Amino acid sequence: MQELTRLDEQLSLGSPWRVVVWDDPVNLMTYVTWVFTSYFGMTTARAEHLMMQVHTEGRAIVATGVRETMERHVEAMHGYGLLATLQRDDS
Amino acid sequence: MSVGWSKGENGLVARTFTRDEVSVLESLASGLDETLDFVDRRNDDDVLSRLLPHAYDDAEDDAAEEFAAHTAARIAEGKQLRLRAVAADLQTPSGEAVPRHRTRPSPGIEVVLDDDGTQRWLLALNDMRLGLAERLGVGREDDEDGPRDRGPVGDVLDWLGWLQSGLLDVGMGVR
Repeated sequence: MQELTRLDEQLSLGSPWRVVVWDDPVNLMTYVTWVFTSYFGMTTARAEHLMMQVHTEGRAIVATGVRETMERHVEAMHGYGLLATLQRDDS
Repeated sequence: MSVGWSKGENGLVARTFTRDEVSVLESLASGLDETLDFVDRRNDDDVLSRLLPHAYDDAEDDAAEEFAAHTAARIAEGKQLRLRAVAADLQTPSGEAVPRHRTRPSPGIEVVLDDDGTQRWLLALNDMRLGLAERLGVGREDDEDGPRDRGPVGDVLDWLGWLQSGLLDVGMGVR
């Protein structure tokens, strides 16, 4: 069963979910960039791009995939103090 | 911009805190630590709502509650452990004996951080800033009035921001 779950995750056949990070007035821009590089392993350029998107557009999608994995990411983001939510990617 | 942080050749990041700075940080850390004991009341407390926010949009309250039931205590505990680690760093300066000065007061406490320590401090400082900002109502004020005088608590909030910004710059190379 665990193996099936893992396979499902690899193939991303589960309904895709996304992690949205929302703008907030307190978190430093440099901190948000660091969280993205540190936790997701993004390049600095990608992290800065997404941080700017959060800052200027109010939100950015930082990850997509199966629900369980995305819930882990949201839990981690809350640990870092970022405002993050899960959304079903049905657009 | 470093507001006192420096990186040695050994890769460790250090800063000396004055007694006043130590007592401010200790007080913030212990206050937030106590607040985080009340995870179950997260919906009734602004600081807890901010530190343990909803994971789903309002339309999916059930999912948000289920997520919180599984994760809120764990997230809160992680925050508490980091706050306690920061408080401990400020008490025992990295295992080295506090220099005893007989003729003048101690110059302060030197904190020396490795990568893990730096990470713990960044997250803990961030939680302190979020909690303080929430109590001050930052973000709920009318921006058209310009920056409001937030008094001494606002000064502490600004100082925490500089401290965190400097640690990101010196410790993580993010500026």
